[in-house]
Amino acid sequence: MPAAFRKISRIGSLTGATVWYLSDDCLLAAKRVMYAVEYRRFYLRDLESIVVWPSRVWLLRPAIPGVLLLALGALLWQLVNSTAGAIAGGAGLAWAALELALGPTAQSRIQTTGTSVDMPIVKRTRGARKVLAKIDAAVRATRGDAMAQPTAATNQPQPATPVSETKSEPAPAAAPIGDVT
Amino acid sequence: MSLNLNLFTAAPSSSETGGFATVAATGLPQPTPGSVACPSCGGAVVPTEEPSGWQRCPYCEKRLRVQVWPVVRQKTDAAFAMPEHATCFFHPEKAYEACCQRCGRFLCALCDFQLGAEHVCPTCFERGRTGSGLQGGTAEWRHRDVLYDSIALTIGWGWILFWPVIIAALPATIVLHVKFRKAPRSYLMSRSGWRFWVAYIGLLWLPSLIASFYIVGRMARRH
Repeated sequence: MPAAFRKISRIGSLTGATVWYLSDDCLLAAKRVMYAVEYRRFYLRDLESIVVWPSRVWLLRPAIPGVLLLALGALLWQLVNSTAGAIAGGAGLAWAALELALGPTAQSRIQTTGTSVDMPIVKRTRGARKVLAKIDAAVRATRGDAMAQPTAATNQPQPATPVSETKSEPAPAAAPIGDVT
Repeated sequence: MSLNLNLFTAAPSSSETGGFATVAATGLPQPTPGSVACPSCGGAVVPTEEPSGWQRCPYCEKRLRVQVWPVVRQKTDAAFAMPEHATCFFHPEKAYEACCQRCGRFLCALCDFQLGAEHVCPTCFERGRTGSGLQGGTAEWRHRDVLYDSIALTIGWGWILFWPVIIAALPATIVLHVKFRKAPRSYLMSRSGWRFWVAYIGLLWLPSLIASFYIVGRMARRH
């Protein structure tokens, strides 16, 4: 019997959407493009890290439609009447304001044992905390005793060491490697 | 320029299993267990406990939210079998570690594929992958579904764009419904079959409207 999947996030696009589900043992991405859905599983046992960062070009989302609608509004104001221009211009401003209020879009990288995949796991960076907390809870529940070992998080921020001073030797492992077999 | 038809497989330029090899070339420290590679510069970033949850890469100052879990590695150093030990089906010199839950073959640590809680051998793994196409395969193997109900829905309403197509759209919708009526419930993320019925509504609303106008008109003429 398949484990029960619960939806944790959805990232829409023009041609489809990627919906993320969480079950007892895996994180499942269901990517829909037109009339096909492809599934990809990330077993919680294999998850090593998830990194989320703001997209570099997210400001284009409010800028491009906003500018286009404002230009359309100016044209309508001149050529048709002020009401039509105000509606189009107002829509452009509202779009830009909404996008800015929602915040940056996010990109993410999922690292599992042996592979690293760049797939957006949340639409906006502000939703990352909630989604990562759910995944973290599921990973901890799955691994149980293995997670009792000390984790990698530290209270001390890592110093910004200049590149020239870094040594070629790898730093000592902050997190232990557990053997589950 | 590369054309990538697989929805999930990253393009050659992306970081699928890549990232780390190029890090050494930049001179930045390589990620170790407990740290991650910065997606921007590739330097090793150790997660810190910030109140906001966000931190900056110490090398490129990029804002990141990092979640790291302890690395759990599978045991892959298959032990050599002693004379009285059970051995692997595929490697007779290796000691038994697990039993394939599909075919019952004995497996060593190298051949033991774990899918969730299930242990499978490489043969059953391949068989499951190839047999998990559109309809077949259990949920564990399923990697693709075709949304026939959405296709029917598009056909059912898409004829409005070019009305003569309705002649072919109606039988096509019926065929899709009859052949794949159980598909929405068998998708990995199951759906109800309402899209098929909405497709019929899309096909029949105009003929029904015309017919009702015709009937009402005839009745009005009689009276």
